Amino acid sequence: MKCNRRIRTGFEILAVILVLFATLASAQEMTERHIPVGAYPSLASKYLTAGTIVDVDDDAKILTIEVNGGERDFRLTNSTKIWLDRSQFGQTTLDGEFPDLATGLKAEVRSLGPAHSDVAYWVKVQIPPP
Amino acid sequence: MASNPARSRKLPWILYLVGAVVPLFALNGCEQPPPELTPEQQLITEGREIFFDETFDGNGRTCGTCHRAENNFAIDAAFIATLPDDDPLFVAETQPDLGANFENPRLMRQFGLILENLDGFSDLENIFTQRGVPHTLGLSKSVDSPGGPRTGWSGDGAPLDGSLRAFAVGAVIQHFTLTTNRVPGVDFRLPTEEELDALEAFQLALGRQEDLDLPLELKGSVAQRGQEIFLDNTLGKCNICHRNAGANATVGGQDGGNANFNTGVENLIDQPIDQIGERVPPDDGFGVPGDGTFNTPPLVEAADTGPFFHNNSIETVEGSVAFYNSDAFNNSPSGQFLASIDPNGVGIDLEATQVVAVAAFLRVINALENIRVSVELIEGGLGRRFALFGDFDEQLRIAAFEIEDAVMVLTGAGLHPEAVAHLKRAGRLADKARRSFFRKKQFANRSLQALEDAKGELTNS
Repeated sequence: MKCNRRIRTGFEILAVILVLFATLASAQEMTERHIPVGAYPSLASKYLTAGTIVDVDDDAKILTIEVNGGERDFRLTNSTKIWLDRSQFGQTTLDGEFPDLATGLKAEVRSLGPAHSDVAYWVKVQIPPP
Repeated sequence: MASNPARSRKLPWILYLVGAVVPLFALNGCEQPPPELTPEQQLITEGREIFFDETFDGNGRTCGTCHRAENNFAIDAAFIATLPDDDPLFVAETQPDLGANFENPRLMRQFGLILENLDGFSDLENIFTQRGVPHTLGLSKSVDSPGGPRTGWSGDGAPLDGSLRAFAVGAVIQHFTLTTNRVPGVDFRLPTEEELDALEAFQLALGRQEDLDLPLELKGSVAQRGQEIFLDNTLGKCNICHRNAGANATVGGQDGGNANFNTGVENLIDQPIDQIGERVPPDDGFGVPGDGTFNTPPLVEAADTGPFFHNNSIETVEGSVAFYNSDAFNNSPSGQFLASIDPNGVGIDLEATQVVAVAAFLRVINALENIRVSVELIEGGLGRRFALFGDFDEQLRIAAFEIEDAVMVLTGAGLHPEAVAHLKRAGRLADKARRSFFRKKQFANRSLQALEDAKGELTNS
């Protein structure tokens, strides 16, 4: 009986572990860096927010994006990756910094997930041709 | 014009000849007219063409460069050794722009390892992993998890939604590029949404569409014992993570989906790759930075798709079962978990005979899958079902490789010599069917019968 309880508890622990894994992003984000902004609407719709940057709050590190007529705010942290998509003029994607996020640029944001949907995991901005 | 008496005399003989040959042509023609393709089958067909032919304007590789139909949609060192030097697999040796930090040709040729930048492209010289090529069989039963799809060795092989559909996007960026700048539209083109649909449909059509329902009624006593050990959650414990020898875990009697586990493979001592002095960073598995976990592969297809584990660290199926006896496994989080629920605090501890028995079971179920696939392929060639690889000869060619694999996995452990004899006959008949013009169907049907005979030697079901 004690043994059965131990096994049941073990499986419950395993279930918790699996559920914890289930809440983590499973995608390989490093190739996402090289996908141009807006390239895959069908793959992006559930996981990314795409739109135009309408406001950048330097102090609070908040990025506001206009999406379908509405606005969404995303908080950037020190670990938020910023990528500069230069594919429009045949150049490789670069790492960026917060000052690179300018109003008027097209952007895609991946959030940290359902529990932190207002925190940006990465932000990719489309740099127009010079 | 004067008539030629000799010609006039010959004419009836020619007519006789034509009269005799035409029915033979007719007999050789379609037993049944090729069935009209459904929209799904049409999509699969398009996917097959993209999978094997489309380079996406990159370095010449296709999906089929690493996922070879004649090698179970994977490659290994032995197969690589058969390829010509100008095969697109070897672009790092032939294209100067890919000469550095794109592949490690030595590790590719010696161990079948492919370079991946799973933790980013920012430091190509120092941040990379070397992984084997997983097969793409049975994907319809080995991708889904409660947390979303799991692809690739660490479950995070695809960008965006992480799906099999998106996998091709990441693969093109990683493996198809002309330079390590990886600029879309310059170094490659990305697949269109339609191409992703087709590629996904083709990949999902490969291999098993259903999981096994264990236990099977196996005829061989060793494999039968291996199955018992496999299913015994207090002994082999295999079925906990590989339910029905598939890729999904069982958690408290429930379907846990295709889960990730840290089984300690990275900590295994004396791995082949360690012996040659190449600097390869540790593989941290899922995520960036990784959490040390790797995705559970299905086992039905394991015996003919070695080497095993994400880094091809073990060559034989017996060795891969024995791994779970090792300190590397039993000290890993997964081994510790199993020990925590064991009445005696043991993770996995099998005798050598038990290791061999479990491996024999895996060999037999692999051979049964080879037989099932071969039957499907030959029947597809005969027009009795959808022909996944298109024409009759290609169906027969791939079937012959499957039959060869069944022979290999059984003879590799001295299992079921009678079944092996039937399989060899089935293989010869499939080859004859492919080479024959007039008796193609006859040989194909006889090959099918030999496959049934082989199956009858392995199982009662």
